[in-house]
Amino acid sequence: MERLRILTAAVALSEFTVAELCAYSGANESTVRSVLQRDSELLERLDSQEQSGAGRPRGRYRVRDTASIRHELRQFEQNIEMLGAARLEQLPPETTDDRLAALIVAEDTVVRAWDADADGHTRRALAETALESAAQANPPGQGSSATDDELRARAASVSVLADLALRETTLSASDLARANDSLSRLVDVLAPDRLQRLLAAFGRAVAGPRATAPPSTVDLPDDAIYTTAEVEKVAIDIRDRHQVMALA
Amino acid sequence: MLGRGALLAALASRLGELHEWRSRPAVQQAITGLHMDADAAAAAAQDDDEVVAKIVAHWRMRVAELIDSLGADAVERTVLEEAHALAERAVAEDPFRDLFDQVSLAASRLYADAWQPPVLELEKLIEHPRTPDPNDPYGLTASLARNGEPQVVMQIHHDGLGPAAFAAIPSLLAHECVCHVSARQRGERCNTSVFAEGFMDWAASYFLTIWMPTIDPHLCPAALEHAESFRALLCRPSTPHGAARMRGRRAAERLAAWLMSERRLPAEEARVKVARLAVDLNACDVELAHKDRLVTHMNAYDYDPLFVQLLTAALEDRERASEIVMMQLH
Repeated sequence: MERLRILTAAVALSEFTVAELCAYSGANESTVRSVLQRDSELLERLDSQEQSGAGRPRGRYRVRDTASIRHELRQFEQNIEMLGAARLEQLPPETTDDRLAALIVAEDTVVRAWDADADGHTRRALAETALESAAQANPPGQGSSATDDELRARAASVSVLADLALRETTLSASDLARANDSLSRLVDVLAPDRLQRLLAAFGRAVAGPRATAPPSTVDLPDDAIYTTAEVEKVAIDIRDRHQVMALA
Repeated sequence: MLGRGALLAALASRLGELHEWRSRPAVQQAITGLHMDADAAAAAAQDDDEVVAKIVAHWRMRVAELIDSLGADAVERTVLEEAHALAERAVAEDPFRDLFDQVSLAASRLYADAWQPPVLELEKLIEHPRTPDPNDPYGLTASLARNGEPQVVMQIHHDGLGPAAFAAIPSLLAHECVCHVSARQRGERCNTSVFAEGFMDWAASYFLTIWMPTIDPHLCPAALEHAESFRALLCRPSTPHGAARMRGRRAAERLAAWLMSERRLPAEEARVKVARLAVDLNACDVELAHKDRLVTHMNAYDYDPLFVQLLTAALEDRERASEIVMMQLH
């Protein structure tokens, strides 16, 4: 069993030192050295010329016969499966909890994207992550239960904010309206501290060079630190204005 | 804390059973008594040797009395008898540092030249590190501080160090050593990163599974069982930290499943490859945002050809791991 674990680590690493093989197999050094010696038809030491050429540390080994090791390993795993274990390659289908987790990651990441410290590349990477995670929270073919509907609505709102964070150009009045709409939908579901971060970041963006005109729908002071009560007040204000806009 | 730890270390092979039978009055009294005896010994003893000797003597006497009070066929009799015998082996050595040294040594082999030797700091907590919950017996937490050298700070709640918490220590240390000690991410810290807290945590769990039989064969079964239970507590989808853990771990499993089904690799080889990729990515000095994007894409329903190409290169050649982190997906 320990020999097979060492061979498995060897074939996965392809090229390795004794210390690496110990770390990736869990075996102690003497056992690893013993396998290297006994299974010399499967594993070999790299010669000194190759080592110096690659600029790699001394004492490296590599696998000589990948196919034989994999064959042995597959047989072992097939025996395990025959003993009643689940098929090893199967990944359980995503549950509602998985989708909720994807949504929470999307919401958290969009806050990080809007964070003022994020530079252009970082903001882009975070916004793309938020978009992809939101899409994973709302895969095609989901049902229409209350949970599905809530996940779908929240994912859509996060996607709008992530999409706006991706913009290289300044935000237009219609962008602000879309952001306003999405923020108002997230007011009741985001944790206060995250909503506070998002509002502050969005306020900075609106007050900064990304906005083309003074905001007509969201008006937040730059670099403000909000108390929870203030955040709630601002959030309610946004929602009310959104409703007024919708009525208009 | 040392005395309590020393006694629990001596009971390593029976920690799982002691936790399992904790609702039985005699076992419950034995566990509670451990805390009382440790406090009394610490107040009365002059040095570590004396602390441990006093705890062991008091606790064994207490357990002997509990055993005498049990009926002949009481189900908890065996576990208490075994614990009574094992307690005698307790020695005045720091069990936390011993576990830390072994986990740290194993992790150092993963990172080779990129390894930054950490030190362990123990701190007492006056409250449970999370919301007190009868289903959360893990009264400890750990984090990484950098004060010149990396410091793994393990905080232990005064009354929280019972059989389950002690058994969970290796998983806590493996998480810090594998995920954070040698992480290179432009000095950034983010406890909601799907890469740092999820994908890397999967790798830490994988390594713990293969290291634990060598680190401590007696503690191994309880350590692995409680690593799993502790993780389940932390992987709650409704919190940003729990959600990041869930999605990052799912990404690692998704990638392993892809290697098995699309590349026809044996299951165990696929897992080692994913664990190795995690280590290689962790050593790339790139912002977490890029690593998070990569891990999130691993959870995609389909892998696009460019991603497959970069993934294959990163899995085949360790030098090319950074290329996949910086890929432009769109």
